[in-house]
Amino acid sequence: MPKLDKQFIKKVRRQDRFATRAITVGGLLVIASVIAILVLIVRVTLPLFQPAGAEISHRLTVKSGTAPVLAVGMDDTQEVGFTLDTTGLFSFYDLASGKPFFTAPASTRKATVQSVESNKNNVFALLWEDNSVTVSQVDFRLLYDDSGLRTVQPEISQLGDYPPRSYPAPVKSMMVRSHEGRLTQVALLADNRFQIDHEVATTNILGDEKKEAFSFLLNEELPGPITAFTLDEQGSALFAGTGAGSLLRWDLGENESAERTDNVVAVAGDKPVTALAMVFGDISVAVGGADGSLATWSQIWTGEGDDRVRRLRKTHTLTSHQAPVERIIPSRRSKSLVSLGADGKTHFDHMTSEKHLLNLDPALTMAGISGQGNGLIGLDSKNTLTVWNVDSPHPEISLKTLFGKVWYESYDKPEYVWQSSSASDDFEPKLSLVPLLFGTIKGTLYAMIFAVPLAIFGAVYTSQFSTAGFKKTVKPVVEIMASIPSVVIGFLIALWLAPIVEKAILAVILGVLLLPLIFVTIMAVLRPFYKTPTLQNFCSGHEFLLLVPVIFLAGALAMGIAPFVEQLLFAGDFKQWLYNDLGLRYDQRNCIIIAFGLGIAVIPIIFSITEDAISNIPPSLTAASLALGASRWQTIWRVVLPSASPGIFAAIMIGFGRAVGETMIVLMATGNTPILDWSIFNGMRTLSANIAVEP
Amino acid sequence: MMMHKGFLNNVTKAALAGCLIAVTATTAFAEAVTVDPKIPAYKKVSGVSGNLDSIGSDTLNNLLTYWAEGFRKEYPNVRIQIEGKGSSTAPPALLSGTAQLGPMSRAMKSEEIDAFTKKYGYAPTRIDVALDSLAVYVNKDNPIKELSLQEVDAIFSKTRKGGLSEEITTWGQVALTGPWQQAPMSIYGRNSASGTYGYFKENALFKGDFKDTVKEQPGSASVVMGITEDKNGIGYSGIGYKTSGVKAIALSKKKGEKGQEASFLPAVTTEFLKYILSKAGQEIVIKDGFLPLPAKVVEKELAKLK
Repeated sequence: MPKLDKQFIKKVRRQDRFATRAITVGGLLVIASVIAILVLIVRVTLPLFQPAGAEISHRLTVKSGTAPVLAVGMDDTQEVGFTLDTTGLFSFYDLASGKPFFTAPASTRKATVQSVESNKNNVFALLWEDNSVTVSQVDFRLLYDDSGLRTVQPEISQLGDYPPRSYPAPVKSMMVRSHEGRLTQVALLADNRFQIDHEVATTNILGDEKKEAFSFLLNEELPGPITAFTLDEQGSALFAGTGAGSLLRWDLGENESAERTDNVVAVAGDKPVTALAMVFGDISVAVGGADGSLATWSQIWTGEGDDRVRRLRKTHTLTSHQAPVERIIPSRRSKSLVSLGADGKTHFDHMTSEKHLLNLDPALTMAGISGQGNGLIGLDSKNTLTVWNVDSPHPEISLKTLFGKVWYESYDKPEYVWQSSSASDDFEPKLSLVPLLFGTIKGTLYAMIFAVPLAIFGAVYTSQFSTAGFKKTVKPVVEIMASIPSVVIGFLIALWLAPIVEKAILAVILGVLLLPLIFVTIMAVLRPFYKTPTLQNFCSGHEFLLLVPVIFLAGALAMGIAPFVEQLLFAGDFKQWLYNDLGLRYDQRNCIIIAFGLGIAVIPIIFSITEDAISNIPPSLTAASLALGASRWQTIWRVVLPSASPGIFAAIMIGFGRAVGETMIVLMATGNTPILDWSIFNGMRTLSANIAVEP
Repeated sequence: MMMHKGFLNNVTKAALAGCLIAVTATTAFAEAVTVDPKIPAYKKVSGVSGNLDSIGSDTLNNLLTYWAEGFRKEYPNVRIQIEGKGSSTAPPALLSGTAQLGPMSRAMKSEEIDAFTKKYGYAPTRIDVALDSLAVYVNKDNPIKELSLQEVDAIFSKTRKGGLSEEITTWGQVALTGPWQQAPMSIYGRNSASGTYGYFKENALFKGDFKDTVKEQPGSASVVMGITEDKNGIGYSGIGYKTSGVKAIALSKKKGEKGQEASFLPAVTTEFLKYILSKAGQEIVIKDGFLPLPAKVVEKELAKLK
């Protein structure tokens, strides 16, 4: 044997070293990128759970010598703040410099404002001493000069001016709502009664306007003195809280009618309701009590059958104050609430997530939220205006809203719901991940039940029983299947297969049941002929051909007997029977379809990797097993499969990964219904499809 | 008056084309629709060239394609790209500057307007371009003729803000008899990126929530296709997507909303919008199955472009 060339050995070693390093670097890079992806995901998601923060951005003192302030507010850019005082004068301050720069009266009247109420951003209803009402809106116009510098110019516009009405007793406070041609004024009188005034303007087809006015007293026994009340945006629901802790609600009709729908105890221990406010969206009402409790109530359907009615229920309990709640200010952009306690604490809470966002200390007497909900302006007893820049980008996200049951507005009970968006601003996002996780698991599970046995047994057969020629054709063909774009599969199964399966659903089910039955029968019949040479010769490597007639037979039989079975057992309509007797709704786009579709996508992958794993078993192992007298089946079961199991496991996992991550097939063929139901006859909404269908 | 930092970006070209959607009774379609003769014809101007990108509503996709085709006949040097995946994709596209037009089949949310104003310093311009009638479709074999909005609400919504106390799940509950009586409804709808989804939610569901069993489809055409193939199907989509496989059912009427102040638009965008609002543009509206704007509205919208 010639001695190996030293140069050559050196070269080989060098190449070895190089390969080792390259592989090491490659492996480390893979690990590093996986970690980097994880870090990225964490970085993207962490801000969702970041606690809210607030920092004081401006602080200034209100001009001394002015009348007492009744309301405060600011513009969206948080550059201009304003106060409204008892003379009806709006004073605007440049927040950065703290200087007043503009004043404007709400009305030309020279009178004193008795109370101010605001139900929209920067819209104020002023009740004058003579019981007349002015509704003023503060607008901020952004102006740009030639050099592009921005200035904020405040403007006061009068939305309405309503002359005094006649009242049988002095007016304590008043609410005004104007909505689609209907004006509603509700006044709380000193003798603990409500007077309601409606003005309804209707326009007929010819364009003639007709005005109708109604005025009536709510002459009913009230369970205690009214301590707080509020009206919804449309002026159709009146809420009132009493000194004994009751919460009352009336439906105000178009004419002289007011029907009391609710009388519930909202504050425990006979303590009075001290503050009421409609949560943004006008569905829930926030109730603050003298015991410091803060909760939201909304109307939900209760009762059975024809007795179903909508009644007030407490849906969310928010963090309590240590002292009576003095005032609740709802955000006009989300379901957040600012509440002022008598002890000078200011709370920032979110209704849906029940998250306590912020706890501010200064003793505020008055507060306002900026239009975008990211600024808070407050006035304390020393006439100092303070502006906070509130940073609470995701108040609606908490572990509970993502994974727990949440009681959403208008829902009968707490539920897992995914319904993320709407065209309206006052929508309450419903972001439970549970239906999506459930849908992902459901789809994947059914797909794997269909795909794994087919793929693995197919691979075992191809590698161990079939002839080499057969294997050479089958493997590439199956692998080509893997290259079918999933959008094509999705399209075909959604629009072609789904209607066919729907028409022949019973035949499909019968076919699945009949197939093994017929197969076993044929096997039993053929048993005496197993050893005959003709069958042996024919069968060796072509056993699968025996299955072809079985499949056709089962299919034909299923199709043939399905109508009779349907007539006999299911009163002529299987789907109807499912719905009536089992309560299962048959959806055209269901898990059977998905199992087929995902199966087509997953089977080639599992098949191919499993086949490789089995083929890579050293022939010595199988040869030894066969030589010791084991049958082919024993060899496969005891030797081949155990040795190949890591590879098979990898195949299943990769297939599983594809099924979990598959987007287009489920997107097109499921209907994306976020339901929690294991039924194989309806669809689901998966996480991946969700990413594609959401904006 | 105060001075503030922040410079205005004059080259920013962003506009918002809105599509007025109305839930209209189908009886309105009995008479042939024609363009209001008072709408002026489009006058070609010189020197218009460049690129125009539009990203947004899927409902308006076909319509924009027709408009682009007609517009390019006038100005061959203009390249127009149209992408439609849903109205909610329009604001982000305008924000990132990938599109100059953002067709939407609903009004912009204040959140979206805020984001736009924050970035550019001025509010987006809304131009109403056509009237769409959102229709509720059923399979062509379905004998149903009419549904009230309350019934539609009880079919599609789980909160039933329309006022019906029971949810509607079978066709028997809307007075169909025979084999239909016990048949469960199979509900189709758009995905939430769609303006149609939002509009339907606000007007037909009275701001309530959709049932979880509504099969959300990624496009208006797939809604119609799904109902064509599903005997028990019911769903909503723009009237422009009506085919022979489905039947639109009659509903009650609602009105659209008004527009906003204008800002700066470059020549290509302005001319394209003027073209849309011209006689030729509105004829295309009819061709695609939508309803043309009345001359008064066109006048108002044109005024915004001046």
